[in-house]
Amino acid sequence: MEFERDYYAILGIPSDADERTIKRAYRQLARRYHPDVSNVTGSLERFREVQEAYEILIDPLQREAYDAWRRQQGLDRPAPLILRVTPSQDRLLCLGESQVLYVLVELLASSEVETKRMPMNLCLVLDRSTSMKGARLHQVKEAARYIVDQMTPEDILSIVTFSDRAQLVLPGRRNIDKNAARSAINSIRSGGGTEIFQGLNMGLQQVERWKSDDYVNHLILLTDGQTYGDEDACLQAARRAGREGIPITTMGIGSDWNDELLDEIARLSHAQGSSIYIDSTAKIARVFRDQIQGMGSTFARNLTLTFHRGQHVSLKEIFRVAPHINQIFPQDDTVALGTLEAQKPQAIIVELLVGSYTPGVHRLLRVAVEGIVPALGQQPVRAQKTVDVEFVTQLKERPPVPPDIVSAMGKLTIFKMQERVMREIEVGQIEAAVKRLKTMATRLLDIGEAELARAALLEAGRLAHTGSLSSEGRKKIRYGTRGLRILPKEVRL
Amino acid sequence: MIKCPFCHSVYPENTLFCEECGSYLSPGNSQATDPLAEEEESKPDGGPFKTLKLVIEGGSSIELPLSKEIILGRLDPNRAIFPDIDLSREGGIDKGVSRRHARISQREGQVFIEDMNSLNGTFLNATRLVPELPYPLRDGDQVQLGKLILTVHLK
Repeated sequence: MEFERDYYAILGIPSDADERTIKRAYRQLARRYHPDVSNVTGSLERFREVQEAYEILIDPLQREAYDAWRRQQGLDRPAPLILRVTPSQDRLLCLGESQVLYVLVELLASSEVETKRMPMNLCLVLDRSTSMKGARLHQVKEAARYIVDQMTPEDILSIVTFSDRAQLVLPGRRNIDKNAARSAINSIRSGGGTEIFQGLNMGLQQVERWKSDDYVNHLILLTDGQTYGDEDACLQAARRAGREGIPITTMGIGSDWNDELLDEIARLSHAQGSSIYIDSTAKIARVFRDQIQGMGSTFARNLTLTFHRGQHVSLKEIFRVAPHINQIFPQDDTVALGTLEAQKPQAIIVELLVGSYTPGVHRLLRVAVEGIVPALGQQPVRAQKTVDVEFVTQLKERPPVPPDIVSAMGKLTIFKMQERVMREIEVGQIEAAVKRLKTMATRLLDIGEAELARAALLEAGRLAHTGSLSSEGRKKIRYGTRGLRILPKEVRL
Repeated sequence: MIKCPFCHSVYPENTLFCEECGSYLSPGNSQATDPLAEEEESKPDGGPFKTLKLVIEGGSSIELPLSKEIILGRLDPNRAIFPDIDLSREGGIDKGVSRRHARISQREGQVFIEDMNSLNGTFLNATRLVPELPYPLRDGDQVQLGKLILTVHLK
């Protein structure tokens, strides 16, 4: 027999509930979600689920078959990956044209499964060029010493510095001698130019050497300058990391570094790679600490999300909106999501273009997630949800769109405007870019992002006069709009 | 298809935001029964308006010019909050009206209402508004601030 759902969870009852409990839970939920009394988006689907769950569980024969299936699927243990899928509407008009449906997909770690800290295989690749001299290098060294202190005997840490050449300050190994590591960090001196590839290459070799599925393998690259002439080699190295599944986090300090290059390195390396803008020296230590803590609380990894589309449904665009905004490009309707940290839920907005359907209920989308939860072993863990929409010929009132979706789309729209501005500047459409940047500032003000709005207005003025953005303003806007995330609500079990 | 009321870009039905100018394409802007016919008659409905009259439940009413933004809330001299329309005399506190509750403004002949992140929310014809987003306001609409109900008249 084929089942798809966790009927006990739907009714909110334990799996050993007796008949009375089942009936009581059913009556309560049916009253709440009955289409005659509730017009909240999602309630019709909930009502059907409740109905289905009740019919199976109240019949002893069916319940027995279902329990057997549950045990076989491992559903009798708490579900480690929580997948929530919310469509913008659950009732659509039958139209002779395409219409948009937004689906918010949220992925959370169950608080019932303990997070097992995985050992790290980490390499820090640090810029020590002349421009790092003084407070910057001092802070970076501080941050590096902090990381050394956090390492457990199982962790592997290596440190590489680079200027014109790369230098292996701390070779990777388990059980590092913390005193020796600290004095190696203390001996780092600034001087020379910036050649990122040298450092990146040596750092990758260190991570590759110890790479293992039982470890969180990661490389952190920190720089404050432009690299000269070796951009292509850097991208090659990032692709190599991508093939090997080694995420690279790039961090830029100050305003002189090449944001496009660092973005691209991070993107090519892995779904988990990200680039971070550090606008003030004082924040260096905090950014490092957050990174390390995040890596240490890896809940699930190798996550993939697959979309099974209905007949007349196409995927328009997919954006991750938490923990930060970035566009995701599916391959054969599958996207790699990298790692899920215990305290950092992921949220994704899927924009569907829905063609003509006949009246009635249709399944527009099935979302399936799969990943490895190290605390539960190497067997992949799965979860799935469906989006069923009722098509009607008449709709008195458009049901309200869930506020989370409206708010996420509002921020996403600003992010997209920013991307358009950057493209327009690139091809010399300065006038259009100035206008868009100003409109964007208004939208930012609308949602209460005053500081970012000011930066956008300031840069619009500069752009109109000089034809380009300031290096700092450009980063503020790019990384600021990326950070306009929405945070999924608390885990609801 | 729906059309952005500000920059006239065209999008598939149910699109939430205009990608061109970032405007919220409120559901009130179009009722999608007959898309073709609608595109033909995209006249602004009656604007620009000169005055806003709010009839408060129980009978009293307030009239203000729409020449600038109007903030609805409760007067609180201690915190230097002076809304344009003070609802404390109409039972604002008991009915859950925030000091700065909502704003009404006019842009290109269309009047909008926007919730200012109020504690108990703003409702337009019984639908709760997403905070910080402008929704088109029409003559005869019913606005609810917390539990206080107002009827809108635009002239």
